[in-house]
Amino acid sequence: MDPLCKETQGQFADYIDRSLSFRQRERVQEHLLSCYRCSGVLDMTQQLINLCSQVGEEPVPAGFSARLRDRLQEITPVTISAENIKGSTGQPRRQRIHQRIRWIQRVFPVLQAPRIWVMAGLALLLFLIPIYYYATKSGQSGVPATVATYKTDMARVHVGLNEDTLVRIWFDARKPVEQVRFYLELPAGIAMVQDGQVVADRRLQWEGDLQSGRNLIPLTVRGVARGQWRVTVLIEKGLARKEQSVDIKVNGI
Amino acid sequence: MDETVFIEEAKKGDKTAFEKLVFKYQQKVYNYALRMTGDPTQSEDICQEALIKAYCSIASFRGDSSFSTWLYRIVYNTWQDHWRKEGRSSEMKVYFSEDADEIKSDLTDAASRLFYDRLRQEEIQDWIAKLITQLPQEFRTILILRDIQGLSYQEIAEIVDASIGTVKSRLNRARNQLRTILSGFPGTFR
Repeated sequence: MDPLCKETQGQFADYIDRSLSFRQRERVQEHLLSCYRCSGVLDMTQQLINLCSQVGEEPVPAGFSARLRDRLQEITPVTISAENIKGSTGQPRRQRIHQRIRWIQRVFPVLQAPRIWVMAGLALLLFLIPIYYYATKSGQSGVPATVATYKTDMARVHVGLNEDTLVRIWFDARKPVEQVRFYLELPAGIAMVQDGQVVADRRLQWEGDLQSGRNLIPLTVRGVARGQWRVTVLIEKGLARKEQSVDIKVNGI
Repeated sequence: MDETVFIEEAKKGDKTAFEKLVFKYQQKVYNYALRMTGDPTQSEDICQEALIKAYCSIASFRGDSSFSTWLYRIVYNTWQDHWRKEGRSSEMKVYFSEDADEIKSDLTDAASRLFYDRLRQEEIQDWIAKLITQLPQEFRTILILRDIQGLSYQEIAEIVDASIGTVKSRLNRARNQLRTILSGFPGTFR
Protein backbone atom coordinates (compact mmCIF):
# COMPACT_ATOMS: atom_id res chain seq x y z
CA MET A 1 0.00 0.00 0.00
CA ASP A 2 1.30 3.45 -0.86
CA PRO A 3 1.91 5.35 2.37
CA LEU A 4 1.68 8.70 0.55
CA CYS A 5 -1.25 11.08 0.27
CA LYS A 6 -2.84 11.55 -3.13
CA GLU A 7 -1.11 14.94 -3.50
CA THR A 8 2.29 13.26 -3.63
CA GLN A 9 1.45 9.84 -5.06
CA GLY A 10 3.23 9.15 -8.33
CA GLN A 11 5.19 12.40 -8.03
CA PHE A 12 7.68 11.50 -5.36
CA ALA A 13 10.34 10.07 -7.65
CA ASP A 14 10.11 13.12 -9.92
CA TYR A 15 10.17 15.42 -6.91
CA ILE A 16 13.33 13.80 -5.63
CA ASP A 17 14.85 13.92 -9.13
CA ARG A 18 13.80 17.58 -9.43
CA SER A 19 12.03 16.83 -12.68
CA LEU A 20 8.63 18.22 -11.71
CA SER A 21 7.38 21.46 -13.22
CA PHE A 22 7.62 24.55 -11.07
CA ARG A 23 3.90 24.51 -10.34
CA GLN A 24 3.83 20.78 -9.51
CA ARG A 25 6.88 21.14 -7.29
CA GLU A 26 5.32 24.04 -5.47
CA ARG A 27 2.15 22.03 -4.87
CA VAL A 28 4.11 19.07 -3.45
CA GLN A 29 6.18 21.37 -1.25
CA GLU A 30 3.07 23.02 0.06
CA HIS A 31 1.65 19.62 0.94
CA LEU A 32 4.87 18.50 2.61
CA LEU A 33 4.76 21.49 4.92
CA SER A 34 1.44 20.39 6.30
CA CYS A 35 1.76 16.57 6.11
CA TYR A 36 3.95 14.93 8.69
CA ARG A 37 3.59 11.49 7.12
CA CYS A 38 4.62 12.45 3.58
CA SER A 39 7.51 14.61 4.76
CA GLY A 40 8.67 11.69 6.93
CA VAL A 41 8.53 9.32 3.97
CA LEU A 42 10.41 11.84 1.82
CA ASP A 43 13.07 12.20 4.46
CA MET A 44 13.50 8.44 4.77
CA THR A 45 13.57 7.97 1.01
CA GLN A 46 16.26 10.60 0.62
CA GLN A 47 18.31 8.95 3.35
CA LEU A 48 17.84 5.65 1.59
CA ILE A 49 19.01 7.06 -1.74
CA ASN A 50 21.94 8.62 0.02
CA LEU A 51 22.84 5.25 1.57
CA CYS A 52 22.57 3.53 -1.81
CA SER A 53 24.80 6.12 -3.44
CA GLN A 54 27.47 5.30 -0.87
CA VAL A 55 27.70 1.75 -2.15
CA GLY A 56 30.97 1.82 -4.02
CA GLU A 57 32.24 -0.35 -6.81
CA GLU A 58 34.05 -3.61 -6.25
CA PRO A 59 36.98 -4.32 -8.55
CA VAL A 60 36.50 -7.19 -10.99
CA PRO A 61 38.05 -10.42 -9.68
CA ALA A 62 41.72 -10.97 -10.41
CA GLY A 63 42.24 -12.65 -13.78
CA PHE A 64 38.82 -11.60 -15.10
CA SER A 65 40.21 -10.13 -18.32
CA ALA A 66 42.56 -13.07 -18.86
CA ARG A 67 39.73 -15.55 -18.47
CA LEU A 68 37.58 -13.53 -20.89
CA ARG A 69 40.47 -13.52 -23.40
CA ASP A 70 40.84 -17.29 -23.10
CA ARG A 71 37.14 -17.82 -23.73
CA LEU A 72 37.18 -15.42 -26.68
CA GLN A 73 40.04 -17.39 -28.25
CA GLU A 74 37.81 -20.45 -28.34
CA ILE A 75 35.24 -18.63 -30.47
CA THR A 76 35.36 -18.48 -34.23
CA PRO A 77 35.31 -14.86 -35.37
CA VAL A 78 31.88 -13.58 -36.32
CA THR A 79 32.04 -11.39 -39.39
CA ILE A 80 28.38 -10.97 -40.24
CA SER A 81 27.74 -7.38 -41.14
CA ALA A 82 24.82 -5.73 -39.42
CA GLU A 83 23.78 -4.24 -42.76
CA ASN A 84 23.26 -7.77 -44.07
CA ILE A 85 20.67 -8.56 -41.46
CA LYS A 86 17.47 -7.33 -43.03
CA GLY A 87 15.07 -5.59 -40.70
CA SER A 88 17.35 -6.02 -37.72
CA THR A 89 17.80 -3.03 -35.50
CA GLY A 90 19.79 -4.91 -32.93
CA GLN A 91 16.92 -4.61 -30.49
CA PRO A 92 14.53 -7.21 -29.15
CA ARG A 93 11.05 -7.14 -30.66
CA ARG A 94 9.40 -6.17 -27.38
CA GLN A 95 11.65 -3.15 -27.08
CA ARG A 96 10.84 -1.99 -30.59
CA ILE A 97 7.14 -2.27 -29.71
CA HIS A 98 7.72 -0.25 -26.52
CA GLN A 99 9.59 2.39 -28.49
CA ARG A 100 6.71 2.67 -30.93
CA ILE A 101 4.24 2.98 -28.05
CA ARG A 102 6.42 5.67 -26.47
CA TRP A 103 6.58 7.49 -29.81
CA ILE A 104 2.78 7.36 -30.18
CA GLN A 105 2.43 8.62 -26.60
CA ARG A 106 4.77 11.52 -27.36
CA VAL A 107 2.80 12.44 -30.47
CA PHE A 108 -0.55 11.99 -28.73
CA PRO A 109 0.11 12.94 -25.09
CA VAL A 110 -3.52 12.25 -24.22
CA LEU A 111 -2.78 8.52 -24.58
CA GLN A 112 -0.46 8.71 -21.57
CA ALA A 113 -3.45 9.03 -19.26
CA PRO A 114 -4.41 5.58 -17.93
CA ARG A 115 -8.09 6.57 -17.85
CA ILE A 116 -8.07 6.90 -21.66
CA TRP A 117 -7.02 3.25 -21.91
CA VAL A 118 -9.64 2.22 -19.36
CA MET A 119 -12.34 4.09 -21.30
CA ALA A 120 -11.16 2.59 -24.59
CA GLY A 121 -11.28 -0.87 -23.01
CA LEU A 122 -14.80 -0.29 -21.73
CA ALA A 123 -15.94 1.02 -25.10
CA LEU A 124 -14.49 -2.03 -26.81
CA LEU A 125 -16.20 -4.26 -24.27
CA LEU A 126 -19.54 -2.52 -24.82
CA PHE A 127 -19.06 -2.95 -28.55
CA LEU A 128 -18.15 -6.62 -28.31
CA ILE A 129 -20.74 -7.79 -25.78
CA PRO A 130 -23.81 -7.39 -28.07
CA ILE A 131 -21.95 -9.03 -30.94
CA TYR A 132 -20.89 -11.92 -28.74
CA TYR A 133 -24.37 -12.22 -27.25
CA TYR A 134 -26.08 -12.17 -30.64
CA ALA A 135 -23.61 -14.56 -32.21
CA THR A 136 -23.83 -16.93 -29.25
CA LYS A 137 -27.59 -16.81 -29.21
CA SER A 138 -27.72 -17.44 -32.95
CA GLY A 139 -25.18 -20.19 -32.65
CA GLN A 140 -27.07 -21.95 -29.88
CA SER A 141 -30.37 -22.12 -31.71
CA GLY A 142 -29.03 -21.93 -35.25
CA VAL A 143 -29.02 -24.76 -37.66
CA PRO A 144 -25.49 -24.65 -38.92
CA ALA A 145 -23.54 -24.48 -35.72
CA THR A 146 -24.76 -26.99 -33.23
CA VAL A 147 -28.40 -27.95 -33.31
CA ALA A 148 -28.98 -29.45 -36.70
CA THR A 149 -26.86 -31.21 -39.23
CA TYR A 150 -27.50 -30.87 -42.89
CA LYS A 151 -27.53 -33.99 -44.98
CA THR A 152 -28.43 -34.93 -48.53
CA ASP A 153 -28.08 -38.03 -50.60
CA MET A 154 -27.60 -36.00 -53.75
CA ALA A 155 -23.94 -36.93 -53.89
CA ARG A 156 -24.84 -40.56 -54.14
CA VAL A 157 -27.29 -40.01 -56.95
CA HIS A 158 -26.19 -39.92 -60.54
CA VAL A 159 -28.79 -37.97 -62.41
CA GLY A 160 -29.58 -39.30 -65.86
CA LEU A 161 -29.64 -36.98 -68.86
CA ASN A 162 -33.26 -35.91 -69.54
CA GLU A 163 -34.39 -38.19 -66.75
CA ASP A 164 -36.22 -37.16 -63.59
CA THR A 165 -34.68 -38.23 -60.30
CA LEU A 166 -35.95 -37.77 -56.78
CA VAL A 167 -33.32 -36.21 -54.54
CA ARG A 168 -33.92 -36.17 -50.81
CA ILE A 169 -32.47 -33.44 -48.64
CA TRP A 170 -32.87 -33.60 -44.90
CA PHE A 171 -31.88 -31.85 -41.71
CA ASP A 172 -31.31 -33.72 -38.50
CA ALA A 173 -32.25 -31.33 -35.68
CA ARG A 174 -31.53 -32.11 -32.02
CA LYS A 175 -34.34 -29.80 -30.94
CA PRO A 176 -36.98 -27.66 -32.70
CA VAL A 177 -35.46 -24.65 -34.45
CA GLU A 178 -37.56 -21.72 -35.54
CA GLN A 179 -37.20 -19.51 -38.58
CA VAL A 180 -34.57 -21.28 -40.59
CA ARG A 181 -33.85 -20.09 -44.13
CA PHE A 182 -32.68 -22.47 -46.76
CA TYR A 183 -31.41 -21.63 -50.26
CA LEU A 184 -30.37 -23.91 -53.02
CA GLU A 185 -29.18 -22.88 -56.45
CA LEU A 186 -28.92 -25.46 -59.16
CA PRO A 187 -26.17 -25.32 -61.78
CA ALA A 188 -26.84 -25.17 -65.54
CA GLY A 189 -26.77 -28.96 -65.98
CA ILE A 190 -29.59 -29.70 -63.53
CA ALA A 191 -33.14 -28.36 -63.50
CA MET A 192 -35.98 -28.54 -61.01
CA VAL A 193 -39.13 -30.41 -62.03
CA GLN A 194 -42.62 -29.63 -60.80
CA ASP A 195 -45.69 -31.56 -62.01
CA GLY A 196 -43.57 -33.18 -64.71
CA GLN A 197 -42.43 -29.80 -66.11
CA VAL A 198 -38.99 -28.20 -65.88
CA VAL A 199 -39.13 -25.01 -63.83
CA ALA A 200 -37.21 -22.07 -65.26
CA ASP A 201 -36.24 -20.77 -61.82
CA ARG A 202 -33.02 -22.46 -60.72
CA ARG A 203 -33.26 -21.32 -57.14
CA LEU A 204 -35.15 -23.03 -54.38
CA GLN A 205 -35.90 -21.01 -51.29
CA TRP A 206 -37.53 -22.35 -48.16
CA GLU A 207 -38.21 -20.72 -44.84
CA GLY A 208 -39.80 -22.28 -41.82
CA ASP A 209 -39.31 -24.14 -38.58
CA LEU A 210 -37.40 -27.36 -38.16
CA GLN A 211 -38.94 -30.11 -36.07
CA SER A 212 -36.93 -32.15 -33.67
CA GLY A 213 -35.54 -35.16 -35.52
CA ARG A 214 -35.41 -35.58 -39.29
CA ASN A 215 -36.81 -32.89 -41.59
CA LEU A 216 -37.06 -34.17 -45.12
CA ILE A 217 -37.28 -32.03 -48.27
CA PRO A 218 -37.98 -34.08 -51.42
CA LEU A 219 -36.86 -32.50 -54.68
CA THR A 220 -37.31 -33.81 -58.22
CA VAL A 221 -34.55 -32.78 -60.62
CA ARG A 222 -33.79 -33.49 -64.26
CA GLY A 223 -30.38 -33.74 -65.86
CA VAL A 224 -30.29 -31.29 -68.79
CA ALA A 225 -26.56 -31.33 -69.65
CA ARG A 226 -23.84 -33.92 -69.19
CA GLY A 227 -21.05 -33.31 -66.76
CA GLN A 228 -20.07 -32.91 -63.16
CA TRP A 229 -22.12 -30.15 -61.53
CA ARG A 230 -21.80 -28.48 -58.21
CA VAL A 231 -24.88 -27.68 -56.17
CA THR A 232 -24.50 -25.14 -53.40
CA VAL A 233 -26.80 -25.25 -50.40
CA LEU A 234 -26.99 -22.36 -47.94
CA ILE A 235 -28.67 -22.56 -44.54
CA GLU A 236 -29.19 -19.48 -42.36
CA LYS A 237 -30.38 -18.93 -38.82
CA GLY A 238 -29.98 -15.37 -37.58
CA LEU A 239 -26.42 -14.31 -38.26
CA ALA A 240 -25.16 -17.86 -38.37
CA ARG A 241 -24.88 -19.40 -41.80
CA LYS A 242 -23.40 -22.45 -43.36
CA GLU A 243 -22.65 -23.21 -46.96
CA GLN A 244 -22.14 -26.68 -48.34
CA SER A 245 -21.40 -27.85 -51.85
CA VAL A 246 -22.26 -31.21 -53.35
CA ASP A 247 -20.97 -32.52 -56.68
CA ILE A 248 -23.58 -34.21 -58.88
CA LYS A 249 -22.83 -36.12 -62.03
CA VAL A 250 -25.24 -36.10 -64.96
CA ASN A 251 -24.82 -39.33 -66.90
CA GLY A 252 -25.50 -39.59 -70.59
CA ILE A 253 -27.80 -42.63 -70.46
CA MET B 1 40.67 5.98 -29.65
CA ASP B 2 37.01 6.54 -30.39
CA GLU B 3 34.65 3.85 -29.12
CA THR B 4 32.94 3.56 -32.51
CA VAL B 5 36.25 2.53 -34.09
CA PHE B 6 36.57 -0.35 -31.62
CA ILE B 7 32.95 -1.32 -32.30
CA GLU B 8 33.55 -1.43 -36.05
CA GLU B 9 36.72 -3.45 -35.58
CA ALA B 10 34.96 -5.84 -33.20
CA LYS B 11 32.18 -6.28 -35.77
CA LYS B 12 34.83 -7.51 -38.17
CA GLY B 13 35.84 -10.12 -35.61
CA ASP B 14 38.77 -8.29 -33.99
CA LYS B 15 38.90 -9.78 -30.50
CA THR B 16 41.50 -7.32 -29.23
CA ALA B 17 39.28 -4.39 -30.19
CA PHE B 18 36.40 -6.06 -28.40
CA GLU B 19 38.50 -6.60 -25.27
CA LYS B 20 39.48 -2.92 -25.27
CA LEU B 21 35.85 -1.99 -25.74
CA VAL B 22 34.55 -4.04 -22.83
CA PHE B 23 37.47 -3.16 -20.57
CA LYS B 24 35.90 0.27 -20.10
CA TYR B 25 32.59 -1.20 -18.94
CA GLN B 26 33.47 -4.53 -17.35
CA GLN B 27 33.68 -3.13 -13.83
CA LYS B 28 30.27 -1.44 -14.16
CA VAL B 29 28.51 -4.52 -15.45
CA TYR B 30 30.33 -6.78 -13.00
CA ASN B 31 29.13 -4.60 -10.11
CA TYR B 32 25.62 -4.61 -11.48
CA ALA B 33 25.65 -8.42 -11.57
CA LEU B 34 27.27 -8.50 -8.12
CA ARG B 35 24.54 -6.36 -6.59
CA MET B 36 21.91 -8.48 -8.29
CA THR B 37 23.25 -11.83 -7.11
CA GLY B 38 25.24 -10.93 -4.01
CA ASP B 39 27.68 -13.65 -5.05
CA PRO B 40 31.06 -12.73 -6.67
CA THR B 41 31.53 -16.14 -8.33
CA GLN B 42 28.08 -16.19 -9.89
CA SER B 43 28.49 -12.56 -10.93
CA GLU B 44 31.69 -13.34 -12.78
CA ASP B 45 30.05 -16.31 -14.51
CA ILE B 46 27.15 -14.13 -15.64
CA CYS B 47 29.44 -11.34 -16.82
CA GLN B 48 31.75 -13.67 -18.74
CA GLU B 49 28.80 -15.36 -20.42
CA ALA B 50 27.21 -12.00 -21.24
CA LEU B 51 30.42 -10.62 -22.71
CA ILE B 52 30.84 -13.70 -24.89
CA LYS B 53 27.25 -13.25 -26.07
CA ALA B 54 28.00 -9.59 -26.74
CA TYR B 55 31.00 -10.54 -28.86
CA CYS B 56 28.99 -13.11 -30.81
CA SER B 57 26.15 -10.67 -31.50
CA ILE B 58 28.04 -7.41 -31.87
CA ALA B 59 27.23 -7.45 -35.58
CA SER B 60 23.63 -6.76 -34.64
CA PHE B 61 24.58 -3.67 -32.62
CA ARG B 62 23.48 -0.68 -34.69
CA GLY B 63 23.95 2.10 -32.21
CA ASP B 64 20.28 2.77 -31.51
CA SER B 65 21.27 2.86 -27.86
CA SER B 66 24.70 3.47 -26.37
CA PHE B 67 27.11 0.55 -26.26
CA SER B 68 27.05 0.49 -22.46
CA THR B 69 23.22 0.26 -22.43
CA TRP B 70 23.39 -2.56 -24.95
CA LEU B 71 25.95 -4.35 -22.80
CA TYR B 72 23.89 -3.87 -19.66
CA ARG B 73 20.88 -5.30 -21.47
CA ILE B 74 22.80 -8.44 -22.38
CA VAL B 75 23.99 -8.82 -18.77
CA TYR B 76 20.43 -8.30 -17.55
CA ASN B 77 19.06 -10.91 -19.98
CA THR B 78 21.82 -13.36 -19.08
CA TRP B 79 21.12 -12.87 -15.40
CA GLN B 80 17.42 -13.45 -16.03
CA ASP B 81 18.24 -16.71 -17.83
CA HIS B 82 20.32 -17.80 -14.84
CA TRP B 83 17.61 -16.71 -12.48
CA ARG B 84 14.97 -18.67 -14.38
CA LYS B 85 17.12 -21.79 -14.45
CA GLU B 86 18.43 -21.84 -10.92
CA GLY B 87 18.13 -18.40 -9.37
CA ARG B 88 14.52 -18.77 -8.32
CA SER B 89 15.42 -21.57 -5.98
CA SER B 90 18.52 -19.82 -4.65
CA GLU B 91 16.50 -16.66 -4.09
CA MET B 92 13.97 -18.65 -2.13
CA LYS B 93 16.81 -19.93 0.00
CA VAL B 94 17.72 -16.38 0.94
CA TYR B 95 14.21 -15.86 2.18
CA PHE B 96 13.61 -19.13 3.92
CA SER B 97 16.90 -20.76 4.81
CA GLU B 98 18.77 -20.38 8.05
CA ASP B 99 20.90 -17.72 6.31
CA ALA B 100 17.94 -15.37 6.52
CA ASP B 101 18.20 -15.22 10.32
CA GLU B 102 21.90 -14.56 10.07
CA ILE B 103 21.33 -11.75 7.58
CA LYS B 104 18.65 -10.27 9.79
CA SER B 105 20.92 -10.43 12.80
CA ASP B 106 23.74 -8.69 10.87
CA LEU B 107 21.35 -6.06 9.62
CA THR B 108 19.93 -5.33 13.05
CA ASP B 109 23.42 -4.95 14.41
CA ALA B 110 24.48 -2.75 11.50
CA ALA B 111 21.33 -0.67 11.76
CA SER B 112 21.82 0.09 15.40
CA ARG B 113 25.44 1.03 14.81
CA LEU B 114 24.43 3.25 11.91
CA PHE B 115 22.18 5.03 14.34
CA TYR B 116 25.16 5.85 16.52
CA ASP B 117 27.34 6.82 13.54
CA ARG B 118 29.64 3.95 14.24
CA LEU B 119 29.18 2.15 10.94
CA ARG B 120 32.15 2.28 8.64
CA GLN B 121 31.84 2.96 4.91
CA GLU B 122 32.60 -0.65 3.93
CA GLU B 123 30.01 -1.89 6.36
CA ILE B 124 27.37 0.39 4.85
CA GLN B 125 28.10 -1.06 1.44
CA ASP B 126 27.87 -4.58 2.70
CA TRP B 127 24.72 -3.85 4.63
CA ILE B 128 22.85 -2.15 1.78
CA ALA B 129 24.00 -4.82 -0.67
CA LYS B 130 22.52 -7.51 1.58
CA LEU B 131 19.31 -5.56 1.98
CA ILE B 132 18.91 -5.16 -1.76
CA THR B 133 19.13 -8.91 -2.33
CA GLN B 134 15.94 -9.17 -0.28
CA LEU B 135 13.98 -7.24 -2.91
CA PRO B 136 12.06 -8.98 -5.73
CA GLN B 137 14.22 -9.14 -8.86
CA GLU B 138 12.20 -6.71 -10.99
CA PHE B 139 12.52 -4.03 -8.29
CA ARG B 140 16.08 -4.91 -7.37
CA THR B 141 17.46 -4.39 -10.84
CA ILE B 142 15.93 -0.93 -11.18
CA LEU B 143 17.02 0.22 -7.74
CA ILE B 144 20.59 -0.89 -8.45
CA LEU B 145 20.72 0.77 -11.85
CA ARG B 146 19.20 4.02 -10.61
CA ASP B 147 20.22 4.57 -7.00
CA ILE B 148 23.57 2.80 -6.98
CA GLN B 149 24.81 3.10 -10.54
CA GLY B 150 23.08 6.38 -11.37
CA LEU B 151 21.72 5.50 -14.82
CA SER B 152 19.00 7.62 -16.39
CA TYR B 153 15.40 6.44 -16.61
CA GLN B 154 15.71 6.21 -20.39
CA GLU B 155 18.76 3.95 -20.13
CA ILE B 156 17.08 1.74 -17.54
CA ALA B 157 13.93 1.51 -19.67
CA GLU B 158 16.05 0.30 -22.58
CA ILE B 159 17.90 -2.22 -20.43
CA VAL B 160 14.87 -3.83 -18.85
CA ASP B 161 12.71 -3.38 -21.96
CA ALA B 162 9.95 -1.40 -20.25
CA SER B 163 8.48 2.07 -20.47
CA ILE B 164 9.85 4.95 -18.41
CA GLY B 165 6.57 5.02 -16.49
CA THR B 166 7.01 1.37 -15.52
CA VAL B 167 10.61 2.04 -14.46
CA LYS B 168 9.54 4.93 -12.23
CA SER B 169 6.71 2.92 -10.75
CA ARG B 170 8.99 -0.05 -9.98
CA LEU B 171 11.63 2.26 -8.51
CA ASN B 172 9.02 3.79 -6.25
CA ARG B 173 7.88 0.37 -5.11
CA ALA B 174 11.47 -0.80 -4.63
CA ARG B 175 12.20 2.19 -2.42
CA ASN B 176 8.98 1.62 -0.50
CA GLN B 177 9.87 -2.01 0.10
CA LEU B 178 13.40 -1.18 1.12
CA ARG B 179 12.08 1.47 3.46
CA THR B 180 9.69 -1.08 4.94
CA ILE B 181 12.54 -3.54 5.50
CA LEU B 182 14.62 -0.80 7.09
CA SER B 183 11.80 0.37 9.31
CA GLY B 184 11.90 -3.12 10.89
CA PHE B 185 15.28 -2.22 12.39
CA PRO B 186 14.98 0.20 15.30
CA GLY B 187 16.89 3.43 15.00
CA THR B 188 17.66 2.98 11.31
CA PHE B 189 16.45 6.37 10.22
CA ARG B 190 17.13 9.47 12.11
